[in-house]
Amino acid sequence: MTPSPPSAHPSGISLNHVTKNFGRKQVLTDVTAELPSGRIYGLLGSNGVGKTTLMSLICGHQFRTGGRILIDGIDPVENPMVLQRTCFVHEDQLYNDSFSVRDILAVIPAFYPTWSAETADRLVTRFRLPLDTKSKKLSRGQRSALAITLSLASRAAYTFLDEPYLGLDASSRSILYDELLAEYAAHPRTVIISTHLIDEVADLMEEVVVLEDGVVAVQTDVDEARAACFIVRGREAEVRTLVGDREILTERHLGTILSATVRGAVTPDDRTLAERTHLTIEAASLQEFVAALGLHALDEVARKTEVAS
Amino acid sequence: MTHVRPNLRLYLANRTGVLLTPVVILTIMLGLSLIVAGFIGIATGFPLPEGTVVRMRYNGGALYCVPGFLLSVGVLAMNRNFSMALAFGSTRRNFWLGTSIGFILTSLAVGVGTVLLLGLEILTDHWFINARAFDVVALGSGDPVQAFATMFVLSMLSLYTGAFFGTIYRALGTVWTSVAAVGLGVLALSAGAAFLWKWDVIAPQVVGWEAWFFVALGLVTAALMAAASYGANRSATV
Amino acid sequence: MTPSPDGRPIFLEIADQIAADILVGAYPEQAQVPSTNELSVHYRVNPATAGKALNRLVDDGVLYKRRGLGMFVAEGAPEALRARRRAAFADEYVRPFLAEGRRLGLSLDEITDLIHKEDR
Repeated sequence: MTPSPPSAHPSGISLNHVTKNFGRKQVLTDVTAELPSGRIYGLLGSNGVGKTTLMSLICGHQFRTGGRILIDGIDPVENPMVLQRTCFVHEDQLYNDSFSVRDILAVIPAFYPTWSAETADRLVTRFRLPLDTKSKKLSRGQRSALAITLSLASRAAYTFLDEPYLGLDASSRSILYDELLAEYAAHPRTVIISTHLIDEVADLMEEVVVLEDGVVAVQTDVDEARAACFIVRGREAEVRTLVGDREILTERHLGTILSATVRGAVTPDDRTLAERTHLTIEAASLQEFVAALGLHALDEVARKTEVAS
Repeated sequence: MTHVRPNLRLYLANRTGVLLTPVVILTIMLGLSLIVAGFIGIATGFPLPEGTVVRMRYNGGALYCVPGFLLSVGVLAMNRNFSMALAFGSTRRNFWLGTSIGFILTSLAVGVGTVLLLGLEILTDHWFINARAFDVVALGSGDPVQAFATMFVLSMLSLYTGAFFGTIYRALGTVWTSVAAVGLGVLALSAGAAFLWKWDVIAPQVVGWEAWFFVALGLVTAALMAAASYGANRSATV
Repeated sequence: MTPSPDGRPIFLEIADQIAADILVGAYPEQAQVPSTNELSVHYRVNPATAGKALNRLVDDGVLYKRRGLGMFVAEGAPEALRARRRAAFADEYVRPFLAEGRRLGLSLDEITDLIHKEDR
């Protein structure tokens, strides 16, 4: 089967009503999204919502229950030409215990025609990876450093980073961010980062995809996502007046004071009203937004269960 | 082939483990056989008397020492190397093909190692004391072709059996692996029982072949395990 | 780059910093400003964000693009920036300043005295 030239197909990842069940448990209920290539995406959402599952489905590591997944217009499952452009080192990646770091770095280039030895060498030095240590003896941070080295050096057109910073100290995280941006600037590719450390990594992202309740709750440009909600704080009655009928994602009470995370952008009228009624308005960080979405979803589930019972 | 080669290289990344170690195990088995022969010789005198030699002709050490280790090589290949192959963009099919070529290389190493040690045994007039580890009935009583074929097939069978169980574990988890192990055991025992039951029918057919019959049987079983491991691999997930 | 408390998009913050750099003379008229990639690495932000900052400055007439070469400081940009900031001075600084003063119960004279004291 002759491979078709890349330009013949729309590039990017296409997810169409993707579902995934594990036994009776439905993890992904209807994931639909278009991810044009060449951008850095943040894949966000609470623990267990299915970020790793979704990435596994895209790369064919797991089999989807339903729906369609396309990479560059082609179904990636068992397609060597498409899959060799992907790289997905899991957060809990298994390596052959008897392989040393050196062994692994010697073998993986065979999988990627795009491999950059120079990038690999540079990252090994910067992260101070111990070349002769067996994979099973690596610390959590060293495993992450190895995963990052392999992922960035692969120069795979679709690179997936699954919680890449676990176990890395602050200076190593700096190295990760700097190297990722430098590589991306010099050799653009599609990068999908699944992360909990949202605020720290937010600046690297161009677009965010937030998973909640088995679906894509939000997919926007990172600046819009950061403006997606705000926090207003003050006396409860005045807060509720300002909020009006907008959706409140979370509420925190302290006596008569209410701190509410409100969905939507702050308007100039909001600011005027706030100044007059002695309320404070604060931008919510991306992390707070995603957390609020998650908590809100949990509340909805709880409320539905209550109503049903 | 471009996509199969990385998986072969993955298998061979630890060259010592998959090519050298099995031969080392054969050598250790040889060493143990010689130590035992040595102790017997201390009592009976050297070279060893005919009675001992007859018993040593049935030394099955070569057949016992290799499968266990190769079973684990097969399991690890399907468990660990598989995870790596998928992470770095390989398909399941290419992984199975690359690993299979690796299995052939390992089996070749075992076969060649056996023939070399057999040659040494004959050249040294059975290790100077009439001890036997490779010039044994199980390996064709000194026939290098049969010794090679027997050990090659045994290795392939061990590797693919390990691979099969490693894959079942990957695809279906612990419970099903136990079920598969029990099922395979039952199948093997029933086949063995049916075999013995119909021995009077089978024996005449086999007379011309003798030990080659078992090589052929091993080959068929290895092929079946290979097919089973391929089938299981198709549903394996990381 | 840490987000500002009032949630101003990062690209605007970067645009402001470049404008401030132009005002202090770091980039004279017709000089080239750093590229998207250089800004991206320096501020540790996505190149798209850096690109948005530069485009905003182009829209504002502070920079202009030369195809294949990069972004350059427009003729008269420093004066234009200064004028714009003077116009915004009342809204951005004076009004909130007076509002806070009134919240604290200070009279206009007391506030003026404070200004004079600080200026010394």
